Amino acid sequence: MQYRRKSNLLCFILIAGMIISFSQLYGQDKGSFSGGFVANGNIFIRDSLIGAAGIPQYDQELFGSEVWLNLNYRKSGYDLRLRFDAFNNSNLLNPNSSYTDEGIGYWYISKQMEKLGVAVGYIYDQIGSGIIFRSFEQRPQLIDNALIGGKLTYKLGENWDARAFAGRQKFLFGRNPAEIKGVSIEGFVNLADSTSTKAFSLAPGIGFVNRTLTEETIETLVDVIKNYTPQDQIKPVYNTYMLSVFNTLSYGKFNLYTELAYKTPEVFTDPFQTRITILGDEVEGRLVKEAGTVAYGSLAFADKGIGITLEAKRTENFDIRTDPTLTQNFGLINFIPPMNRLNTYRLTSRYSPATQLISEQAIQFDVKYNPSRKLGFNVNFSNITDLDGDLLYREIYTEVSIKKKRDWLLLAGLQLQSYNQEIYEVKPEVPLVNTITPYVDFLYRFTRKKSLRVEAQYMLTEEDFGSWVYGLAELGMAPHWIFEISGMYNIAPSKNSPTDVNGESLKILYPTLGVTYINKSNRFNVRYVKQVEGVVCSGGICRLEPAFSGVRMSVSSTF
Amino acid sequence: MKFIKYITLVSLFGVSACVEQMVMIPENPTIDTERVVLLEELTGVDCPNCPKGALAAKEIQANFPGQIVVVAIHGEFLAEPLSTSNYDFRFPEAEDLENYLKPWDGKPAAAINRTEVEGSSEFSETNTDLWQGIVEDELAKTHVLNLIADVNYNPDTRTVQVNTAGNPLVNLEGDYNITVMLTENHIIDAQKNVSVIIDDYEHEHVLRMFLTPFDGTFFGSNLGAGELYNNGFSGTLPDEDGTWIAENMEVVVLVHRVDGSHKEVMQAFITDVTE
Repeated sequence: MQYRRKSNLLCFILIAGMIISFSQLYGQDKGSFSGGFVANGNIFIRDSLIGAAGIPQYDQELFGSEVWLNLNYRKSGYDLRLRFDAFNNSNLLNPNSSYTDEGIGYWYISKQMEKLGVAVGYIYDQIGSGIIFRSFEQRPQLIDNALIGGKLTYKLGENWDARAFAGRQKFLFGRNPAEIKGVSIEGFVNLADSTSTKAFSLAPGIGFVNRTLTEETIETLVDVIKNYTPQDQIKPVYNTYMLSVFNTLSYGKFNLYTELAYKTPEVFTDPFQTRITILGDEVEGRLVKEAGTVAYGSLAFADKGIGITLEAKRTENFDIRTDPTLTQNFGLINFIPPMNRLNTYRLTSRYSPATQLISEQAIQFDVKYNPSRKLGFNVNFSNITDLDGDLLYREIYTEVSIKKKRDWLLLAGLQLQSYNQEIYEVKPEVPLVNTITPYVDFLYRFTRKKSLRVEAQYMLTEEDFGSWVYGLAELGMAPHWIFEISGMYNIAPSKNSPTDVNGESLKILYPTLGVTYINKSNRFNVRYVKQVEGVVCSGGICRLEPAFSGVRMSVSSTF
Repeated sequence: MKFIKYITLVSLFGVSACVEQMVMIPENPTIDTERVVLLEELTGVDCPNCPKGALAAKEIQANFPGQIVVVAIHGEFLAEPLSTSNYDFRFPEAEDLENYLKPWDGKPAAAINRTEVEGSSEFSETNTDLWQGIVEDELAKTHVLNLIADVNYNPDTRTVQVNTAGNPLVNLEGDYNITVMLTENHIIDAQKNVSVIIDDYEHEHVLRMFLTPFDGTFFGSNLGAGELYNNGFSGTLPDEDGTWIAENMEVVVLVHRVDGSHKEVMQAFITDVTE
């Protein structure tokens, strides 16, 4: 640990020094220097009634924070980046525990030399839509899957690019085991003849990724598998190969994206399989060895005032991690696109389906129609099942927008959902959650600088916590101030709602009060928050988070 | 044509090294040692995956007979009785012990000899598949302390008297405590199991009470090899209510470090209350 801290410090000084000396060495060509700073602070106020208790932050620590500082410098084809991360009693990594550490979270150096590009450090990248490889950062859940290693890019021609990379996946300030190597070629072919006004092109690509497990991981797998009865025993492999072929076909107003991915047989944990122990007991979940496939397609049509998108996806056994014993969002080296609408309102986003990696088939249909500048319609339908056809999630979402010049904007609609809480939240004996949620969002501009936005939503359901009503008022005083007050009220509680000493369900108000101050590129935010337990999704990745009670502060700045 | 050429190149790269030596799966090992390992299972009746943890512990005990002591801790988290529960296994010291073993990621989890999980600052492992590997590592360590206990149970007064003797085999630096717990087997009561509630689930190794503070009482400092450390503890069982059946109860004794973040168990011992 001590060694890592020293090497982190050394690394920080080295790269910061390089950034400074680069900017001084080439005095004439100063390049461009930029950066960003984000800090979050939490004050945890214990509230055992809503379940905000039982973790160190509520019971002992009381305060927590996270800090990220980015420095970037670009000059003469060089790109230098550095990020310092610090976590203090943070609940981002695991909402049920506390995490404290600090150090260099990211550094990156790249140089473009005509057709050849080289990069080393922490690399964020993806192949196709990310189905066989994606390294990315998702701060709200402290996912930072950067690939620590090197990358080469080469321009094969005017419209063709090749790239190769190798490294290990970052985990916090260390590395996950397994070596990851990949190559890809992507291009663009214009098929339209020179006299045509209609676009007609292909953007094909192919990617190949290899993941090699470490000897230590294989030993761990062997330790597990040797306890299995002979019929359940499998032989792990060090190497897994993944291939993805993808293409975007553009023809006039149509766009068709398709991607097919295949993974050679490898060992992963299937929570839906059972095994029999040596004592004859049945245990849910076991390591299996299977090949995997994903087929994904998206057809889009866009014309004046109308946009239609149809998406379909089928996933089978595509859970690829740096270590097959890792679970939840840990160690994933790929990203499979979600197939539901990314909702933003408090109640319409309360039940969000996490992408299923073992067994999922889904379709999504979205239509946007704007007959005039003042009027717009949006209808979205998504249906997700497992490969046996059992319903996981269904949503029908409608929205109407009416706008009166710059004076006001009204958005209103209705959402219908069916949500398989048993699968998504691993809650036993719970039925499908069926909801009906009307909502309205009204923005009124008093002057060019002063505006008021009001939201109202009602979620009707008999399942989970029962029905909710939500209201928000947000006063904007441009360019500096935003004041917010909102409340989520459990108007018709159900069996999962908090209860009093007599076991009676309680009608609880979860209020939020907040103020935001913006000064140029600096943003300061303070909010008092009481938040019910629920699924939190960011960038299509979801997890179940416990209730929160306390004060959240954030500062963000770019320079 | 260019595209096909590139695809061919990529494919050649891909298949160039696809052959590897097959991994062999060995038999379960037998570890010849006097060491007895403590497996503290963090569990709860409201925990949907905890029966899986109980099965994992049971399987490990079967693989290493007489070498594993299991204690099921029903602390605070996911341990509140279900609507069909007849009993409440929680008590303040169990909650204290659950907190003492924090941080942990959730339940089920097992603290195995209270050693830090490799690559983590946590004392417990949530992946039940990995428990046996940790147990094997602990069994493979050098046996450093003999520990035995003699139990006298008076059925009339329901008092339990436990006399312990510890004998270090090597010099052991640091401070050590001794903890004595009582556990109970064969309690039939409700338990969540993934998507159902099993009303007649058989709970095993349920932590019921301590004869010492939850984190133990002083055993010794800088223990000398060959020295004998004797202690005596007593307690009274509550009246039977369908549980607290002396014949189903066991005495668990452990000697463990208490230096700062060092909590590791040197040796565990188990015997019946009515031996």
